[in-house]
Amino acid sequence: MKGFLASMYVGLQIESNWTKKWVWLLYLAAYPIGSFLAVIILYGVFGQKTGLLPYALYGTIFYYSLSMVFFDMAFSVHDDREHYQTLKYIFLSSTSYRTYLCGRAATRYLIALAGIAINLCWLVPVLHLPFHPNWAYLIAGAVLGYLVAAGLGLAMASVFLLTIKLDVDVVDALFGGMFVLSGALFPPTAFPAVFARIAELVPMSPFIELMRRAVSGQILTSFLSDLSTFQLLNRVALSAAVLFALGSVLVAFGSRKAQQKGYIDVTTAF
Amino acid sequence: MHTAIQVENLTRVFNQRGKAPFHALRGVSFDVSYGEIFGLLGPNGAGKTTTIKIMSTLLLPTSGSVAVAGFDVEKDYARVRPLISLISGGETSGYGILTVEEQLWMFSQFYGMETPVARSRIEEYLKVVGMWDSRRQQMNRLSTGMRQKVNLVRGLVTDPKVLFLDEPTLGVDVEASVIIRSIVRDWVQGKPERSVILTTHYMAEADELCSRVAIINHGLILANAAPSQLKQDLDSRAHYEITVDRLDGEQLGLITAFMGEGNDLVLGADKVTNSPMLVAHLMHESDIARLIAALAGQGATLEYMRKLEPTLEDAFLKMVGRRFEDEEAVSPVS
Ligand SMILES: Nc1ncnc2c1ncn2[C@@H]1O[C@H](COP(=O)(O)OP(=O)(O)OP(=O)(O)O)[C@@H](O)[C@H]1O
Ligand SMILES: [Mg+2]
Repeated sequence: MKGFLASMYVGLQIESNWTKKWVWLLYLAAYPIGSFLAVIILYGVFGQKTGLLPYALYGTIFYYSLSMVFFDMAFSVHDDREHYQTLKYIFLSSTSYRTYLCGRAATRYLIALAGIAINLCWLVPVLHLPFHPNWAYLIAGAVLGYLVAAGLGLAMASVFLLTIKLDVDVVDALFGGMFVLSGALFPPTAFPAVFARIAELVPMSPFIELMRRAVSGQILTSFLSDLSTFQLLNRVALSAAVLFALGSVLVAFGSRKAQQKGYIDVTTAF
Repeated sequence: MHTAIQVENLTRVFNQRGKAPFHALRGVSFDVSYGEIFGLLGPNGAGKTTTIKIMSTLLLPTSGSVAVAGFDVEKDYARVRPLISLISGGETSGYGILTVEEQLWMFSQFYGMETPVARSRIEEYLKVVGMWDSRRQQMNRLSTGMRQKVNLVRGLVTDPKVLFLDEPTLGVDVEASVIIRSIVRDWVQGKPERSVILTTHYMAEADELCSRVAIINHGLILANAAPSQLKQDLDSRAHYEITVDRLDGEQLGLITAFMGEGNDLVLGADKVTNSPMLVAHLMHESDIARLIAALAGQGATLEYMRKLEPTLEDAFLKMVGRRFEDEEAVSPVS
């Protein structure tokens, strides 16, 4: 637990310590805007008639929150090994590497959620978004969503433990691809049936739909509309359990393999 | 009671794509007792870091075994890790945006330490290394020497039983090196169940700190003994430099004959005074009395005399050099 909190602390310091507190708050609020600006232009200006703006905006925002967890975990390995040269010392400590990654990413996630909350304060009135939050679903969904993203992030981290050169493009492509397929941006039901099938299999899509409903208080499109919100929650819980367990196994395997190959403290300068 | 470290027949092979497998360690064995500072001395690529990495659970061996405080590093690494600290020199490790204090506190938390205990140890050791006043400085504002001191404090704060130091004074100025060495020496004596394994390029460092030194080259241990023993083993003769007021070649011949087989005398001149200077390599230290008597018998008056102490560097160069020759004889370059 102490290790987890200390890891959250590292995450916070790395995120915030580079500037004054008020500048950072501004940054916190401004940072997520990049992720949804295109959505507002796409649906709010050009595609007004579709009425899909709330669906796509909420979808994108919550996908963004998961991406923060995923990218943080994936890139921590490389940053700590190559840039800070602390990876080996973290490995040798009593805190497990998984705990460390989870702690750091948890900070990132909370920061992302705070940024989303700040932005919703103006997005909801300005864009007339439906907003009838169900707090119980929101909080449960947020926790489970973190576990989903952490499971994927740990899997990615295990790959990077065994890769000396960081390939940012692969991670971007992977997560970008899932973004398109997950139905965050457009309802897959608008396309041939295969798309909806694929979208349902993307691990983030039930989470995103759950969060849409929990915030808006409505079922916005027919995607996953055959499931009740409670059933959706169960599905998110199931994928959280499976993915987090899988991620944990993979990161343990990756650590052992890295220990065998001598990759825990290797730098590209070597 | 178990020893601090037992290394048995350790080998490590690195497989690299497109290259022949590289044998970094080829059967290394030694052990280290509590209370000892044990030195691994060797040239670049000898296998020092590889050995340290295996002992500190960062790397798995290809074969052989290592036990730290009685626990196997391969199977029981989770039990080993809380008992050890690793400090590598020549790196700029640490979160640059954290202050010295924050950085050290954070690592103490990774070991689950109570914050008040951690804080008081951090204060204690920062004062010892003379960095208490810099505790609020950001890591990336520190000089190399200061960073290395913080790195050392990080290793000590968790109160390990075994401290692994991989070239702890690499790239650090003389003053900081002196401080680091003296802290390491004091630390070992602080509690009975403590020991240090140190790798170094610097002979003087090994000579000054280590109770025992293993000389390693090409993944093999060539010698393992106390520094004084190593110096002696390689060269058991006693060496003296004697300046006299006068001595010629004929007299030298007479004295050499008198001293007998195995005692060599070389006549030269002192660089400053230009007086005759004799370098004597004697079988026994006690032979010096006979030599002085013989000189007096030839009417030479002693101006100056000193004993020449072999350095660890001499021992090292001889040993490593000899090893090279052996290998070339066995396996001609293809
Ligand atoms: N991961 C690796 N892959 C391939 N070869 C390696 C790897 N790590 C070390 N080696 C090789 O093993 C040999 C021993 O390396 P090691 O780092 O143990 O030497 P060292 O005694 O610490 O030398 P130095 O004084 O330069 O630090 C070197 O030739 C090195 O190139
Ligand atoms: Mg080395």
